[in-house]
Amino acid sequence: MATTTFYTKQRCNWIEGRDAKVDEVMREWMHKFCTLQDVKICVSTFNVNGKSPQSVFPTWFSQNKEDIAEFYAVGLQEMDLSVGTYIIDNTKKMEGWVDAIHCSLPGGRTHFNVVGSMRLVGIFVIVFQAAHSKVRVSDVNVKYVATGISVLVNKLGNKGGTAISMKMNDTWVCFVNAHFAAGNNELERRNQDFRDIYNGVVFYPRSQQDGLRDRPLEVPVMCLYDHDVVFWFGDLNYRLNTDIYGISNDEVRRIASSEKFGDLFQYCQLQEQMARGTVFKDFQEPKVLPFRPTYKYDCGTNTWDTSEKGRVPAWTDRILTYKKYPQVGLELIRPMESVETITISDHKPVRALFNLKVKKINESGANSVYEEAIRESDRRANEELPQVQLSLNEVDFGIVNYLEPKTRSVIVQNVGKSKVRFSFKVRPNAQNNQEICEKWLMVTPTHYQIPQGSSMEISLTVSISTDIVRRIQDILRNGQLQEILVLHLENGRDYFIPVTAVYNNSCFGSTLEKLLSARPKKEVNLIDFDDLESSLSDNCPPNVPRVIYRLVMALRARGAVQLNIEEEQDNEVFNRIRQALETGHPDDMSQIASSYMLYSALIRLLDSLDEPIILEGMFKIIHKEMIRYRTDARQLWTVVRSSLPKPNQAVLELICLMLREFFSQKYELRVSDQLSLWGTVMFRHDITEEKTHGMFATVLQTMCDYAADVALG
Amino acid sequence: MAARNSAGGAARPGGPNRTCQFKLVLLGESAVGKSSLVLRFVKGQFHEYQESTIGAAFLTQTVCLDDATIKFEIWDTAGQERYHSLAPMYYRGAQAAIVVYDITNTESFIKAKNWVKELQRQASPNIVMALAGNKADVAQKRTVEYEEANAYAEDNALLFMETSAKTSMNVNDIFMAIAKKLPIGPAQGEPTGTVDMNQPQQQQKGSCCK
Repeated sequence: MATTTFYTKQRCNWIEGRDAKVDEVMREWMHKFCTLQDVKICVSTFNVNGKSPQSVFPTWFSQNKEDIAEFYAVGLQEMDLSVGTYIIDNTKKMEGWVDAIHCSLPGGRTHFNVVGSMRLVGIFVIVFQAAHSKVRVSDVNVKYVATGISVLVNKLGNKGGTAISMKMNDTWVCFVNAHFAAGNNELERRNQDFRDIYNGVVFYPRSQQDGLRDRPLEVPVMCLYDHDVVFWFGDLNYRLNTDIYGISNDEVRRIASSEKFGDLFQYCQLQEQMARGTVFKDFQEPKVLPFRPTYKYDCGTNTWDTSEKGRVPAWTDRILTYKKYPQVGLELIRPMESVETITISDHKPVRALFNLKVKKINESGANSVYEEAIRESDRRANEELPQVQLSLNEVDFGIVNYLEPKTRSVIVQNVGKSKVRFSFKVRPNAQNNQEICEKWLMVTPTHYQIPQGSSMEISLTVSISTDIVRRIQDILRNGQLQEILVLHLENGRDYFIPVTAVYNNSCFGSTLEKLLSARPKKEVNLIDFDDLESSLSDNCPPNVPRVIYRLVMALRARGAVQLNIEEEQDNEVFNRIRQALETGHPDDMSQIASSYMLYSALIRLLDSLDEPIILEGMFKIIHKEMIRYRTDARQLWTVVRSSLPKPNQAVLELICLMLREFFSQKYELRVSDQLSLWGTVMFRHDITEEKTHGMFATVLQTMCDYAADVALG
Repeated sequence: MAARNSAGGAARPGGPNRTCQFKLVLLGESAVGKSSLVLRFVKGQFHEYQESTIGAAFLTQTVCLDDATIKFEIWDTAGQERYHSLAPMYYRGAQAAIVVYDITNTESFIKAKNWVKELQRQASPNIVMALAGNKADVAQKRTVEYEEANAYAEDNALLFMETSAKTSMNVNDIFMAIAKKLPIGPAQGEPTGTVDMNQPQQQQKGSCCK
């Protein structure tokens, strides 16, 4: 094995998003070209109930030295409830709240700078960065989404979300602050609010925002899930389903006030919806929130709502996180908590402290491993390709006989690294009409799925039916039946399976001419005492093939009385008859099978001939004339004598003789379908009309009534 | 995530750098080294006794150009004559083909010329064709002269290189040369020649970039 030479002449730059598989490798190799930096991020959400802020909230954020974060992201809801806000953009209240938050941050306002903020009336989000922070913040972008269908009734901006997107070094982070529909019974509207905001938060590059959105999107557009990390917080308004479980409001309040408040969390609608996958799929939240419900209090107190409405307590105020990949290093480093000391609103603020490993990509480092990553991704892709092992590369059926199906199986073993789905491809030549193989071959199953490490059997059957045997000479290639199956693995390679069989030339599917010249295949080494006696077939008329003669004589010897046309077809017996016909042993076949089996073998033999006994040739003159004279035995035999070759005449006369005997011995045969059947065999015409069908039977009956000698005098 | 916005995936960076996918098929008489060329190109390996390919092996490999990344879907076909009739399944819809012969085997060069003729008649008219005279490491046993093959390639506008899967001579180069000749247009089209009947025809043309 030699080392590969790579293509060092060109240098490609890694652009994330071009090839998901390569990106996956690059993410795994991040340590090769990224430096990670721990960054503490504090997130807080607070529904302020339209109140004006105090100048400072000293307890809002932890002032402990270890808890001081580099970034603070704060979401407010109901920052401004005044009716005028919906009409006039009143910034006074916002400024008051920005100041209050800024002053409440550890160390006060001088230690932090505003990175960005976004407001939709009362829904306000702001991000601060510590003045000493070395994190490079770039690509700051903002977005709002108003939800609710009827703008006038819902008052524009009453519900919805505001979001800030940014790059912290090379990690994309998004902060979404949302206020969902209120009310115990508005679960579906809250879910819809989530979906609307989720779909609506799309950040267009600033250059594109001015009426250029219809341009092809060549520059990256950041959707929510394109961010490495999303913090989604706000008054999501999900309530407790305690009423469904018959837990009274008083009981809920009692538990919520006790140390066992955590027991109520199992009734949380948001938990239930997330478990169902309805909303916040792939988002994370602590299993149990370690603080009391943050809603609803009498303002200025820690007392549950005493108003007329008497709201049931609930965890309406939430902080959830999303990571684009499992490798993203995001951790909640302090238990999430509410700030009960802040009583200005009917909600309590909730805060959470995270540590995010913010990455810095060394671009030349990334580009230098990029080509290797492409190769690694190719290597993995090639390794993941489905792989099977076949028990046979080629299927040789050996000798196959007429009406004697032969089956072989190929075992397909899945030796690859995943499940395999296979199918057989249709070959390019149109001859076989969209079939995967020629008609003499049957394949089952033609498609299937094999679990990893398992195997399954594909069965191939060669079956030479009458249809096939009649055109066997066209099908044979180099004297063989040949086919190539193309086994295709989904998303993978193809295997060719050549199939061959040698058709045993038989008295079936032959021609009268060949049958006449054929001698029985005698087994030389056997002394056959039967042969010493005068053999039955020695009396065979010169123009009748021995095989036909022997069958007819055997049937005549048994007589019509023994013929039970309701008997079942037995393939084994049929094969015995076929062998007897071909080997010439025993010459007298009357004892080797039932009358019915002999009878059906005779029909099959005549039916498998390349041409019918009553030839269709000469522009169907024979057929026409015979139908015209269908009740005139003399004319019919004249037509036969004047138009058919001697062997055809002789066979026809022999069959008529046999049928005449049978009809006289067993009258039912004449009136049964047997005449029609023989008509079909002798004329073998594509009979679509019932009428013609009947005419053939009539012709045959007339001919059976009078032997040629009698009719022609 | 729930309710994924479809604008997201499609709007990922394309820009001047893009990944293009092309179907490439290898044709040629059996035992000229088709599978060995692929194995050398894709895995950097060489097996002295490479098994005969019964079927059509499939591998992918990406190469980098200045302005694009080319992802080859390589179909390595069985060379035995009995499978000849199946070859259209693989060169149909291919944007590139490498016809391989063995420089020590004149018969294989004649076969190669037949393949070229068949491709000229039956394959896509825009197919990029290369002729590879493999086993250049045993040039002392050569029966096909370089000049002869080169002249033939020039007459038929084929890329031509003598290669050696064993020493890796010109192996990457021939794939790179093909990559450079492939159309990398601005249009966003369907890869590998599949036709979507619901799409207007003009959108089908052009490159296979995404």
